[in-house]
Amino acid sequence: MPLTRRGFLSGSSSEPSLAALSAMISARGHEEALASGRPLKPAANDVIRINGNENPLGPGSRAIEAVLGVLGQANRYPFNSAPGDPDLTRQLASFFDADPAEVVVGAGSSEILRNAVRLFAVDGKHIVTANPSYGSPVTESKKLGLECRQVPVDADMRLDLEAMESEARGAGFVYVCNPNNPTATVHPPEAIESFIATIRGRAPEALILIDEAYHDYVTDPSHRSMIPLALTEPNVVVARTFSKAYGMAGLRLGVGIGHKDAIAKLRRHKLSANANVLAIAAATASLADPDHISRERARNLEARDFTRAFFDKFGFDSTDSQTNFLFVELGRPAKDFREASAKRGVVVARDFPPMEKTHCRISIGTMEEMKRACDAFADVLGGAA
Amino acid sequence: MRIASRRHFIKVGAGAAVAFIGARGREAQAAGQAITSIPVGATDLILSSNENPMGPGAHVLDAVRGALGSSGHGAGRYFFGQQAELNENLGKAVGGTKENIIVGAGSSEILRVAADVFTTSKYGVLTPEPTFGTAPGFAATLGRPVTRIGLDAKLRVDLEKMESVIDDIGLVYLCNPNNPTATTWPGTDLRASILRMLERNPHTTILVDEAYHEYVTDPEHETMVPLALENPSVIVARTFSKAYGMAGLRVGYGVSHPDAIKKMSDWRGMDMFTSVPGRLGALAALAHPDHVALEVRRNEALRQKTREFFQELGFEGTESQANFVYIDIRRSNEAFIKACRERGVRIGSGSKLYPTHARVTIGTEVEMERAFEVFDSILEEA
Repeated sequence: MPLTRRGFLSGSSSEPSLAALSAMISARGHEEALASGRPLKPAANDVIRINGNENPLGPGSRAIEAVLGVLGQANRYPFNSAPGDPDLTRQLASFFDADPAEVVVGAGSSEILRNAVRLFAVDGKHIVTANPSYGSPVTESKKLGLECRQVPVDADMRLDLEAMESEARGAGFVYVCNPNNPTATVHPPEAIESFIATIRGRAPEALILIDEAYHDYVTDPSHRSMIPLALTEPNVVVARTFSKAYGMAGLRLGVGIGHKDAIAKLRRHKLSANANVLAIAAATASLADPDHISRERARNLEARDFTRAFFDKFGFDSTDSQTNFLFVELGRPAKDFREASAKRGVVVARDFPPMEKTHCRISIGTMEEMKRACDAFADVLGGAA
Repeated sequence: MRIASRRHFIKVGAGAAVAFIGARGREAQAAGQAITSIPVGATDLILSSNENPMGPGAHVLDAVRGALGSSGHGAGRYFFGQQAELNENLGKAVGGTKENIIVGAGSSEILRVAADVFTTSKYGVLTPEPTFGTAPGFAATLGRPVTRIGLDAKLRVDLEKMESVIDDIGLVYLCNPNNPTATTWPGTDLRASILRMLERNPHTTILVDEAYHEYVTDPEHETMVPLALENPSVIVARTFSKAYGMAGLRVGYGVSHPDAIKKMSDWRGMDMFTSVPGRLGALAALAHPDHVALEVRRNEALRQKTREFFQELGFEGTESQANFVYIDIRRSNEAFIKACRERGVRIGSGSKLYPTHARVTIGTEVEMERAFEVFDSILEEA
């Protein structure tokens, strides 16, 4: 029987199943709140929240078991707990085939991104990022009064790497989100490699941060992580997160992997004891359970295909998503669509300027959620047609 | 006997530990007690990090489990749902509003934000030494000047000397009670000194770290929160890591006038680093102040017992107002720390400025009994 939130909450069992626990731990709305800068209102329990690109099922059962297992260590700092900070770092290093000195843990990859901007976009050097893309570098630049060059994506909604290269001379920080949020597109590894080589020539000291938050959702067989390259190339760091496929947005854990010099810099600036003991336990258990990620990738693919086919049928194009969300050209303001959907109990993402008049981002929930969501969308889109 | 049963307990493993905590929580509640006993996961005694060995109590653990999905706690779904509530409840708890609060992943985050926001390459941090190192340490990492002032003869923060060098200072860090020396200043003296510093240098900001505030039993102690609420030049840092027993959940906060809070929040951005279980745990902890009161009493009794243990052996310590003691063992603290470690007891890292002082965190009664045996054997040897 498929898990539904409603079913879970109305269940009379006082001991919820591990699957149900998993579903509940994936805390929602992180991205949304980050963008809007204000807290979300808790929605009713039967509302379908497909606005934050989270794994709707949460972490795997082993991760949940691990969290429950360390509750007795809630009083211990992460350097005293078992597993602790150093255990996680070692395990991450081995998982990514790196040395522990090439790994930095963050309270979410947001900490890695934030510190990277602050450390490398210095002495008047600017930031290069795409538009639209994940907003953290832009947000940081505004807070710090730094110049941020936002290069529009191309006509196919892909990062315009060539145009980004031409903005890179003298840059301090170059941000590449691959796959890109919110456009869901991915670049072939050769293109990213050549991009890195070009940037290296034009801005030798710039940090190139490749954000692979959605890496685990990519199904394009040609896709490759830039981690091996980051380990050898100075000032290239790959950011990964446990907030997406690992389903741990509410636990706050991310990781940066790269050349040890850049990582050493990021480590000096990281918040001491940044990862909480629950997140450390959950991540440690998750890394030892790779099947959970392949199952999640397959589950997401099925629901993603279903949702994309739905929009196709209605004549609305979307990019070839390599993530757990779709970027759909609805030909109407996202706001109208969002408000009409919300009235029908479906919460979709915020505006993504400059495409907010035509495109909407829709996260992939469970198949059951997407079926219900598509019923609501049909209503909204049909009514407006 | 107690030690043996504890050892036995550790062997049974994590799954059983959860069951035990749950059962113990209910049992304690039934008996009208708020404190649950939580065993450590390691075989070494950890008396090195000033953690509360009893843990946060059943109400907090229940809230954390709620974040994982136990019935009635849908709030775990919404990442930012509890953020406003936590700010609001903290505001109320300190006698202000949510505008007076900034929450971070441990008070360390608040100390770092302050160390960055209120210093420049010219106006740095003024800090006592030894003290908790995060604020001056991060300022140094950022390339900001750090002025370090030694303690007075009673191992208290030397307020008078700090006042005398206030001119080119951006941020004054005061840890009260001070870590690692466990000493405090009476509220009247501290407030007067802060006001003198601000009078001499109106551009400076005073950061009072009250991590151990709850543990203080000296009736002359006062929190600087009332001053911080009305004065944007004074910030108080507080934490859930000490008396609240939640070091692993990473929640702390800063209290000040809305102008200073806004300055820090604008620079930092929204709270991205605290977790949903951490926030729910903090909310539950705030709702049960009685639990902290019990922990403070428990700590006070054992703190006294620990000081007496050392006194009987002829070793004096400062008059501790925290959950640790600072004892002059009249021999190299480095060697003592090492010897303790070899016998399975971890104590605090020693300061080079006080090479014969050792910092020992107050554990549980059972833990302290075992630690005393170890200390006794080591101190006897030399």
